[in-house]
Amino acid sequence: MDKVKLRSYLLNALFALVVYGILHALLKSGVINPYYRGVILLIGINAIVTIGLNLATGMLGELCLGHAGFMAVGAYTSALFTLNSGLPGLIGLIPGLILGGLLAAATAALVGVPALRLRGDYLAIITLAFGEIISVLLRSFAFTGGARGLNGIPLLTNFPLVYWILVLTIVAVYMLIRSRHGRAILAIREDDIAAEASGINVTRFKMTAFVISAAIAGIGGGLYAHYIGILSPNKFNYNYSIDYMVMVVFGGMGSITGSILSAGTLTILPELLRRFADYRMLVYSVLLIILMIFKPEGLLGQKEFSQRFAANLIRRLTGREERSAASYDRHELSVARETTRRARERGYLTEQGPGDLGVGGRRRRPEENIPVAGTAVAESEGRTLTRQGLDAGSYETAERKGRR
Amino acid sequence: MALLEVKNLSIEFGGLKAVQDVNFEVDNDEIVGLIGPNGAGKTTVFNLLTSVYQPTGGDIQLRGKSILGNPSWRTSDIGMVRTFQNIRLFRSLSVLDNVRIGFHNQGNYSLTAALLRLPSYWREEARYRERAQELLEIFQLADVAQVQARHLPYGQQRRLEICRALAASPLLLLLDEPAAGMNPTETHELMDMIRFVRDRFELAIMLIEHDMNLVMGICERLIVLDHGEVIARGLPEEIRSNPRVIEAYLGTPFDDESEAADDE
Repeated sequence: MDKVKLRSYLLNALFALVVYGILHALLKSGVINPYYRGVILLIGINAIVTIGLNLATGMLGELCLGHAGFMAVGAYTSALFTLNSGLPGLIGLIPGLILGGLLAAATAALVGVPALRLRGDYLAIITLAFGEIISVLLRSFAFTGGARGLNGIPLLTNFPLVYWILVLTIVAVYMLIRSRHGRAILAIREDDIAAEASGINVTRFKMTAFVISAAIAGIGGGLYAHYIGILSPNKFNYNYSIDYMVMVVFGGMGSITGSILSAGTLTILPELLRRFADYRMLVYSVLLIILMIFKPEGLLGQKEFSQRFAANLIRRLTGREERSAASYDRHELSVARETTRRARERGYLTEQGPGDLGVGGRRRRPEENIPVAGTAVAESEGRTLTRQGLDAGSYETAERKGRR
Repeated sequence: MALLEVKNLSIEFGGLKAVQDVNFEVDNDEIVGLIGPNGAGKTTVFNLLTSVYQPTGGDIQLRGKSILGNPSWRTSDIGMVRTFQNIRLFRSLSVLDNVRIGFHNQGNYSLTAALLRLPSYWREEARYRERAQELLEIFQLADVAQVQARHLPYGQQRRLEICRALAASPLLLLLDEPAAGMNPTETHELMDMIRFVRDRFELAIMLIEHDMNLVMGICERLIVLDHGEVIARGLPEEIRSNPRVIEAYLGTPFDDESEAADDE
């Protein structure tokens, strides 16, 4: 196992524990009153669902407008389970949540089979329809309580449960995305034709991501049911799906930490604006429009608030010069150095190599970054080429050059 | 036995015969050029080879096994990888990730192993990383490994695309107009690189190209398509003087004159 990675995993685990400790202590000691406690729980639930949706929308690149439907499936399943199983407390809730997640995943598979085989925005339309169908079905079945919905669901959702499920969701999505499966998912977002040519079974990986995303929404729905205590079919409507879509876009498509940040912001914001009563949604919308004008990629874009990012931020805030080494992590750097050394030995790098990589105190500009084009080839041919090669100097973008 | 055998390959799109009874073979370690005027069906042949389209007639065999009916994503498993006329990279992913995705067809560890970070995950990821670095080093992209692919200059993007294709360890590399948008110097470099790739990775290369300097310079054999049919095949010198090829590219001089005479 990679020692550097292991250390960073441990550091993250420690961070999660510390945050939990602080929040838990504040809740226990009563510094955070029950109203804020409710808001914190809601942030947690929203963050879980948003991360799930981000997997389908931000990482896979498929627009999904029916996540409220998957939440509803999870919410009703787990609520019915706790109401009817007779198992007490968390012993009843946890299997209920798992069941809700599984059922949501199964529904997603059903919806996904026709939609995900096609290219284009079919999934958006089908999930949109699915969301409506679910709310109609919930209204017409007797066992879901019809239009009245379900009442008296035990309020079992507590802070530790939400917090650790959120952590688990983050870990699962992160582990997925930083693996060959996750790279396949990202590749499909970037260019599905090239992904297919690279041997990626596009339909299968679309399905994987979409089903996992729905399962997470189902679990989130289960937590919501046991947080709010009553379920009505009207709650899980189109607008509710859009709320989550807004959170994904606001936080940054493809950013896990962005999703958490936006779930936090967009849950607190309407609460803060409560005093403006009728103008609340207006202000909320205007704020969203302003963000989209000035930062269309969302709060974090595709970036993550990682240890490296935090280290850079601290360095910048404390005014210390940012070293180019900081843009690489240490492992990356050692590989780069080793590569350079080997390249020198084999004579690939004759003139200007990446020698100052991370050694000097200054970040290199791309213009300085001129590889000696074709030397490897020239070597093999036993002759030398001048530096007016493939890349000499021109940092024109491919589009501009291609158009000419 | 030839590496790739194409027999009577045909495809129709709603009555339009895009490719008709095309026959050719590609041997191991060969560089074969597929040329022809615009609309001759060259890219369609590539799409047929990579199972993007299923032919309406004929057969394609790789190492003696028919590839018909395979889904397109399996093409790289059986040993054929292509590049695209308009470069297709995973643009907002890093150069390193682009190459790592190229290894996808050799991936073994399961989703569970990935989620739980089991030893098989670490073993394989370490291997990908090492091999990706090696490839990047050969193509002199190692110092931009962490850069997003879209920020690379044009020449490096071309190299990265070939690099990614090679990660899949193909037996046959299909290059669709690799020199598109390049100036003569760059094209010259590319020719060297194509030869180098063939020798270093011991594979066969089939390429579509309009740049005659490149085609005549590196291809050991040429196949000329026009209106979906093979009109000539042979050594570059033979093709250069073949009257049917000249006609296909330039038209017949007499037609023009007689038309001109008619106009008067």
